[in-house]
Amino acid sequence: MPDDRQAPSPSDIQKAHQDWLEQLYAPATAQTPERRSFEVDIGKKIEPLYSPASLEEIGFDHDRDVGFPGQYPFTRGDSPTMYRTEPFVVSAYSGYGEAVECNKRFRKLIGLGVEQILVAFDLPTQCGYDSDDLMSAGEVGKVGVSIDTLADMELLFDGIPLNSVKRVGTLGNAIGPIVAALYAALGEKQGLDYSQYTVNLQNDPLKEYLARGTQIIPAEPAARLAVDPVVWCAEHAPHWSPITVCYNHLNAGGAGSTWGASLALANAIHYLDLLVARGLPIDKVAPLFHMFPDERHDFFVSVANLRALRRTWARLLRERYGAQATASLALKTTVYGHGQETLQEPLNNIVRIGFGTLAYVLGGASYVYIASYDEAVSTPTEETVRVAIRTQQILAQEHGFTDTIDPLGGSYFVETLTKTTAEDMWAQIARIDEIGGALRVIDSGFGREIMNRGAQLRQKRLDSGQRPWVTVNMYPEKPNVPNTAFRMDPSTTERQHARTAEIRRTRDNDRVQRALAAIDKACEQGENQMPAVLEAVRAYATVGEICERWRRAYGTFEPSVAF
Amino acid sequence: MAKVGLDGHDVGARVVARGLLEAGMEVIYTGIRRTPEQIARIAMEEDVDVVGISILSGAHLALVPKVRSLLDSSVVMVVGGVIPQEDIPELENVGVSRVFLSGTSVAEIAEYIQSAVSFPEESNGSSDGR
Amino acid sequence: MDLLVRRQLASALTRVENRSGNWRDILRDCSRAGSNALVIGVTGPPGAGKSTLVDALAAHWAGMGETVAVLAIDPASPFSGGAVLGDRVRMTRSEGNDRIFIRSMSARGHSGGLNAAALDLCTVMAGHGASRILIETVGVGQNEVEVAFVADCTLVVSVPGLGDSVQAAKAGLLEVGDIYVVNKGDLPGAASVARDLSTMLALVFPGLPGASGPQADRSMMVSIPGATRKLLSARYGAPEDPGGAWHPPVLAVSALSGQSVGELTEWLSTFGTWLRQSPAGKRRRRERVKLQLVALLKQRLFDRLQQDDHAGALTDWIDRVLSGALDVHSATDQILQDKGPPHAR
Repeated sequence: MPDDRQAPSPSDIQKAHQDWLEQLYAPATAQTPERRSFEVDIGKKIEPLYSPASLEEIGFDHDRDVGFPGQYPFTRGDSPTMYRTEPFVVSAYSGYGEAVECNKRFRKLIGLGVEQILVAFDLPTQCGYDSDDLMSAGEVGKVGVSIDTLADMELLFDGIPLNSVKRVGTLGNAIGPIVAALYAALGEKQGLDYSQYTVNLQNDPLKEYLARGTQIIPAEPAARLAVDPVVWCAEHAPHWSPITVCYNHLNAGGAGSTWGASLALANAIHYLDLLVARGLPIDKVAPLFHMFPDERHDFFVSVANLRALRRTWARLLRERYGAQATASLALKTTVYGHGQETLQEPLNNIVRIGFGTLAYVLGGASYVYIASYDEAVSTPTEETVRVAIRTQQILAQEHGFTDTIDPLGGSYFVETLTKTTAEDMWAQIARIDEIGGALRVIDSGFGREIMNRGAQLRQKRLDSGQRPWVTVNMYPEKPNVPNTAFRMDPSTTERQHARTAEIRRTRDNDRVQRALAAIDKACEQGENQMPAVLEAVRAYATVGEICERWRRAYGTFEPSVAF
Repeated sequence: MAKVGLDGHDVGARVVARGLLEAGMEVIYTGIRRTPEQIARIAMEEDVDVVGISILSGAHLALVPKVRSLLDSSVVMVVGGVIPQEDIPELENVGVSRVFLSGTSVAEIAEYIQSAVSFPEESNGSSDGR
Repeated sequence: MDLLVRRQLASALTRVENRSGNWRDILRDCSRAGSNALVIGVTGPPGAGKSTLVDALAAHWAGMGETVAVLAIDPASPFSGGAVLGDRVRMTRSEGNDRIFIRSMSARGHSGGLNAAALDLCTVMAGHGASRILIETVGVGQNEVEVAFVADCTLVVSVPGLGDSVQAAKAGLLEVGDIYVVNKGDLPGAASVARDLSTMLALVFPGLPGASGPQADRSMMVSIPGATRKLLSARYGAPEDPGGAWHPPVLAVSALSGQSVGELTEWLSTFGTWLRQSPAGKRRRRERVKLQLVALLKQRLFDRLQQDDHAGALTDWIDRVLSGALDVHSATDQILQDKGPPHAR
């Protein structure tokens, strides 16, 4: 053929692969058709077989695309030793009711071997309302523990020195400076130096505007508030991780894991730009960033997503910000193990969550949390939390899952997915750049559009059975929320109100007013909020009082609606 | 379609709203974090036939009856989310017509709404479905 | 607006929109009540912040003691006819206000056209005490642009970063706006969008922004074809007219922070004064009635034809066109001939 000279001729292996497809696979599927179309949520078609030909086709290059663990581009791991020296950190995200009650649960968790506790706050706390605010009606202590003041934190960690576990933390997405201050002040109360314990915060407000929805003030000032603790930590507690850029809600909300990663990376870019604009060297702030990836439906996509994320982060930091330090380039990841959970026969969720988490482990996650099997139903009970922790421990210790580093590295399938996913992320970041970055993604409706489309597509695929779901669209059972689901003691709210009222009466109210006035001033002059907020927290100002100052200074959030 | 309380997870509400659109309905979406009073006012100004509440935070027993008590008695009310079995009769007692658990197909919800709302054929001139 | 009136208005709007129950009586009573309500149409591309602007205007007027009604029109699915109406979510300043009433409306499913339906609803709102009515509509598609003709004053909203000046021109929005608003005026690029728009308008309209008399500079207008000039002066008046000609101003506004919203309302009242003085105001009202009448007539004639012939007959004609027996024009001729126009029988 005359074209042979221009087009590179297929290699032997490509020919062999093609021959197999045509001569063996195609005739066989002509007789027995494929049982469904094999497509994953991120929009990729899954081939019947991957071989060296697949890698050749996408121009796979070992040194450039994967390299070695702990080395650029960090595809195979964020450290040279990975789980050989220490398996991932077994963690628990937990909280309910009031601090006293929740403290008992924390002690039990630590007894079970939990090394990191991330406190689940209830919605009023996360949204900046006190437990006795009108907006808090019915929500106190419901999806997490109610925290109004430092006093609640003291009770929550009573008998649990912050340095007795590897890390402590919480989400605090809209109240970043407050949660950073709460942990700093609590450490002071416990007589600890900031260097003696490690705090991990999610503190990623930008995603809240697209999913999850705990935002308080508009996105632009919210992002500035989020980087305040980062600046503060860079100086006072450089080993804390005050910001974890997260996409589990973006993915679950419909973006899918690739777009989820890209939207989250764009949010990270926004935070990093703010920090660079404040004159901080990139290698001083980038190591304080973690990311929180998410893919709960497609096992191999999940492995590839984590690997691709590390690679894309490293490239972004090096090419865009000129970062040099390994700690800047090697991205630490926190994951929350989920599966495609159901209300039908919830025990099956143990298996789903186990597999979902295994994918993260095989992808090399640094910190692992895991959903309880009844989490789709309510706040986990003690029993279900125990299963979750044991699941992590089994994954860490049994079966040899963690014996060698990046065990799926080199798999034709996983490497193909990893490389193409990383390329998609890079292209999507470029697209977001064109739109004008993370803030425009929020206010132009672009982010919503991506998520809505994905969510509708996912729902259609489930409704039509294209994505099989056992007990839902295959072997269907009636959904059921069992009555054994966790119930909060109904008198909790009253007790919480009483405690906070008592604090308001007994604290030094002049000191509180002075501290709140300092917050007003920080808002007005665009100063870092941390010193003022830390003083307010030490003076037992409530979360609601501090947030009210922000609401007054910046206005409330601007809802965005697109269908 | 309303989100009551502080629960900001609105994927379900959006997917259902979109599905009802595809079934030919007009859906007023309230956005997240609405108070019962706000929802009642929107329902009244828009003169809606059905109010759907999506709630995942577990605060349904505190908030849903409040919304119901503020709505006109002719308005049909449905609730979707994670509702324990034993709470369903309690919600039905206060006037919730139907509870849909997470994972219910949008088609099922649309079908129910169509059956629950009577469309008067008193058209005087050409009719528009609203 | 007290609770009772609010309830009555809500239910009256439903009946008028659905043409159900005593809708004719409602409309008659509301028209008879007469009103001096000023109807403002707010249009522009998606994402321009129209709802936020409407919210800011409504809150501003309510604060000055006006009773404000908002009609938020959203596009509908062309397939199912359904719609998700979410504009009111962004109207956070207005939603709890006792002087403001917000109603959503889908852009489809109105026999007699969207304009006629919107006009009817405005009549009902005015009849229930609204002194200011804001109609919000997405400025895409002819149907929606035409809503401009329903309003006394049309605000065209754009925003920096969407290439809007070009978009506005393409959508025909440059021929309908009475006031142009560049929203998110605090974003970089707002000034240049405003400048571009002003320049384009200066090529078409005489004098300076606002009302201008006979001495207005018209040197820029020589390149405008006569026919277009005629159309423009029908809508915007001529410099010689009482009140002069209207040259639409361009304003940079931040609806979110409320910045310059006061200035916008001042322009709106200047425009209101011009509209009362100018013969263009009368022409606009005339044009509006004509549009409404023609739309209703078309619909009623068609309805009558369909009622007489039943849907089956139309299907027969369609089949005959498809089979190649005759073309659509001949079919139309024959339908009207065979059955005769309804009034002839």
